[in-house]
Amino acid sequence: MARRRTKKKSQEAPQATIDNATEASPAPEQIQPVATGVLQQASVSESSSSQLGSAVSKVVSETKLELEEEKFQSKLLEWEGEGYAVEKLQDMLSMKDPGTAKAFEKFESDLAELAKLKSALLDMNISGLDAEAEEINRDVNLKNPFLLEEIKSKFEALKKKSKVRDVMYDLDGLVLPSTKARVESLKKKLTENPELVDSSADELADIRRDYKEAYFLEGVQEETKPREPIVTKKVETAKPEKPLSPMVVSDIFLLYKDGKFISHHTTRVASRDEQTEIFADLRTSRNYLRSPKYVAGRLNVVTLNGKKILVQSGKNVVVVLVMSGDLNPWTERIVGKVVNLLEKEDGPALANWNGDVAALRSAGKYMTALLYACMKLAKGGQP
Amino acid sequence: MTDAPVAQSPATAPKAERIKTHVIGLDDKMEGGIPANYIVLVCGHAGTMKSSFTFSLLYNGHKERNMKGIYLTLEQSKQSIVEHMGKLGMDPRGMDNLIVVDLGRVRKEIAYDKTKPQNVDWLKSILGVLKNYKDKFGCEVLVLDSLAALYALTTFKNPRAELFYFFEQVRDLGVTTFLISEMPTDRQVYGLYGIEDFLSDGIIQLKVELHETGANLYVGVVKMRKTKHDRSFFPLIFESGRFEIVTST
Repeated sequence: MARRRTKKKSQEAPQATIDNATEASPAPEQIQPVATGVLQQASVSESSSSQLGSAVSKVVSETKLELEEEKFQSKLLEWEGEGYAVEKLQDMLSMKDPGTAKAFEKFESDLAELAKLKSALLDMNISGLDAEAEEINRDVNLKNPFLLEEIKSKFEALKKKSKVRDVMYDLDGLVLPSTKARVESLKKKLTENPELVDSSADELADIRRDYKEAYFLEGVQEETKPREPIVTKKVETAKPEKPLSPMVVSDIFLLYKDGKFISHHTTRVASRDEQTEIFADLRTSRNYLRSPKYVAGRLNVVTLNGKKILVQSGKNVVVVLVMSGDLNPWTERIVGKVVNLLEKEDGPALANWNGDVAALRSAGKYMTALLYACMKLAKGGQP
Repeated sequence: MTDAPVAQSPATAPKAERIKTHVIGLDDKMEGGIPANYIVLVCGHAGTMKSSFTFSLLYNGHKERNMKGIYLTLEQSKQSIVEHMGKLGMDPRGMDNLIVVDLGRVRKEIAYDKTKPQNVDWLKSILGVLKNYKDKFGCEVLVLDSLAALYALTTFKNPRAELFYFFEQVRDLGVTTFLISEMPTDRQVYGLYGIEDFLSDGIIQLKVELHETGANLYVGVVKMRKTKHDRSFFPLIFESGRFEIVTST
């Protein structure tokens, strides 16, 4: 019985080896020889089956490697075509480096992270940080996942800088006599150590709240003051007592509703001194825009060193005109019309404007038209 | 017959948008809250927690959804209000969209400085600044504390007509406004001139009822235009920084 069983096993063994490659061949100790002849026969068949098994498994593993290599090659081709730096992977593949598969896996996941970074960079407002953004954006970086960690740290630094820039900008708009000292102190702190931007959030929130309260209070105080002649006046009701001198507009600024600069338009070439003066005018108009005296939607007139600065806003933009001479009664209507047209045409871009001037397609056209209209007014023409 | 103009409901109030009182249980009694842009009188005698009730509405609205609110005080100082609310668990520090404007200070300055004009048109001044403020920073809810203090600043020649125009101007701001009104003890009216109740879109009354061992606070929605509301007075309790009404289950 035992003998029959042994023979049967030895006969079955090669078949099993072929069927299941290396794994299914019965272990030699399982075969219990009884007679020498049978033992020899069994030993011969065992060695041939083991040779066959290893040959098959070699073929199988080689085929597997070939298939994998093919897969890697095709991926390499695809990535190379897309411009990624794949030299390292090529080297690993040609040297049959055992870490190739893992390296490919990592490369692929890094590519996905790079894509995320790229899209985050696109969504980011990089105004004033163009050089840093350009550095990250440079093809050589974004096409090389091996530099991912470096790019990530640069991106984090850019994010922090952008946050500091936003906070600084925010702070610029929070200047009233009662908040000025705290604003300056926080600005100084952040300039010296931009890393403090996150921990300064509460301080900023408090300044912002105090600014709003002061804005309200100062607004009421202003309203309850004895009226000073012509700080803000209605144009239509202004009745000239003497002949009007022509209204000469030297500069026009277009600002976003929060005071962000969009463009400057002028009819002259400004000298260095004049440029300083232009900046001073811009600063005055911005400060006025943030003050409680400012009336939204109407033509506000600020008198500064013999010049008049006119500030008028629409829903999203503010137009500032720097002029000399007497105010033409048509001005408010003309500026209002121009602002309406501009906002109608660039409405979607203005609604969520991120600082990209190129997105405002009609701004230049309408500001130039306004400049011409003002020149016509100066010559005594009708708009 | 009266020749007084009839107050209109705010046509712009969107039905879906309601301002929550954040009093647990009370909003459910009036379709989820007060329709936006309404003018609501919050009235009651002294000590009925009118200020805390309205401040809680601003505070919890800011906490829940960063609601922009202004608490305009004409009598109590800002410091006193902030300290009081802090003790009730409603510390507004760090909330940049909940501002407390102390107009009492400006009143004092004007009263003491004889060089300044004493006949200031406060209603016009406040409304003008409010409009500018809303355009610049946005504002959803305004609390004016109190109507009586505002009246003290103004001399009405024709209260009926002048108050009507004041309410209409407030309505034009497009801000949900709560006017705190201390009810006179000698008359059963919700405001000093007896016309505030029909000029407003809603009335929430707070009252204290005395019993043998103490006093209980009650709240009731007396009027709320275009809103199905329960007219009962509910016991009002204040616990852990929140108001809550007690209802029978």
